[in-house]
Amino acid sequence: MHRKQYMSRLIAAAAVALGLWAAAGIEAAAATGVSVEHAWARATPRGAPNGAAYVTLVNQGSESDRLVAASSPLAVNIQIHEEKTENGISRMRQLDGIDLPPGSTVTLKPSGIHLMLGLKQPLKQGQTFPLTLTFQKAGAVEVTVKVGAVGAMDDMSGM
Amino acid sequence: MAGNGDHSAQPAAVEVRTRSQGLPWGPLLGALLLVVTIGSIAWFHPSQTRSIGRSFDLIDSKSGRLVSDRDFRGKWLLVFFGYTRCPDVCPTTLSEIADTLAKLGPLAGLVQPLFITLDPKRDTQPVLADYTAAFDPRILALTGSPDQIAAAARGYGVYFATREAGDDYSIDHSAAMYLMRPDGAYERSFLSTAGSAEITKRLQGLLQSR
Repeated sequence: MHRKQYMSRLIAAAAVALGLWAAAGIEAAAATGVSVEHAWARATPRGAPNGAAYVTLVNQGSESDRLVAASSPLAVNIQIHEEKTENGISRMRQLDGIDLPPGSTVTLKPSGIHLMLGLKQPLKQGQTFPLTLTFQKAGAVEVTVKVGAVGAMDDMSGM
Repeated sequence: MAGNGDHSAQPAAVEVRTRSQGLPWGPLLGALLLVVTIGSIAWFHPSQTRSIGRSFDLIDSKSGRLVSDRDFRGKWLLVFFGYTRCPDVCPTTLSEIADTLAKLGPLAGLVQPLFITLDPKRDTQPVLADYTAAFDPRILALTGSPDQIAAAARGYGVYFATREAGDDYSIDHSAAMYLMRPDGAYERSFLSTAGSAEITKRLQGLLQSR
């Protein structure tokens, strides 16, 4: 084989390998079986500094995983909180993360777990915004969040 | 007391003395029973129940003026305690209240929903006015000094406590809605999980029967 041919083939192989490696990174989440569905949030009244976003986390893989962080350009920070009403008293507690056993689905919803956003601006009904969820194994997964009414009870994916 | 002869006379004398000096337990117990019975009937009969304790002196977030529960006589009050930074239960409940007003149609004019903040430090008047208006402009938000808020919560039997979380804090709180009659008496409460369909049905029954 001539050197030129060898070099161009080597470069081509390297390019393919690089492409595959990058693609593998992007597909890591899919490969682990972790996906995020139905990302939605409630609109916030003017002046309200906190917003609530909800997602459905699905782990179709054979290994457990854990949601450990979330971020968005619209929020200074995002915490995971769980609301529980017991004996008529409503309490909120921060969670360090959300475990996803293999084959599990965890649905965040009002009167349950939510992502509490420290907002930079109010959320308006009808807008969308990006949200990045970070999993221990699956890494970062980005989704688009749809903003519903201020007291919306579930995802308006039909709208 | 010691007699030395006539024992049959002594006991009779002693008995008479005891009866006139001691308490008439029979009639007393009877009277107590009567009072307890009447009191119990009065306590449990709704129209007889006074709004003991469920009074308040607070600040109207729209006008900035002092208002008391007495200013709302003639209206049914639907009272909910919460705070604007509560992203979950409070928007849910206020949303149900807004839906209830819509479902009531013209009857809604007989009802005054009140949102009383448990976080007067951060829930300033403009913040409150904007907040409730986002759900329905007919919902009135009230605030006050920490003492006034505490007194109102105490009157309604509402539990609330601050939970620190770093620089921030959340407030654990009773999440029921309280319904007060136009005469100021307490009618009933609704669980925070009660939806607008249930609340509307109950309210329609009460509003239409008067």
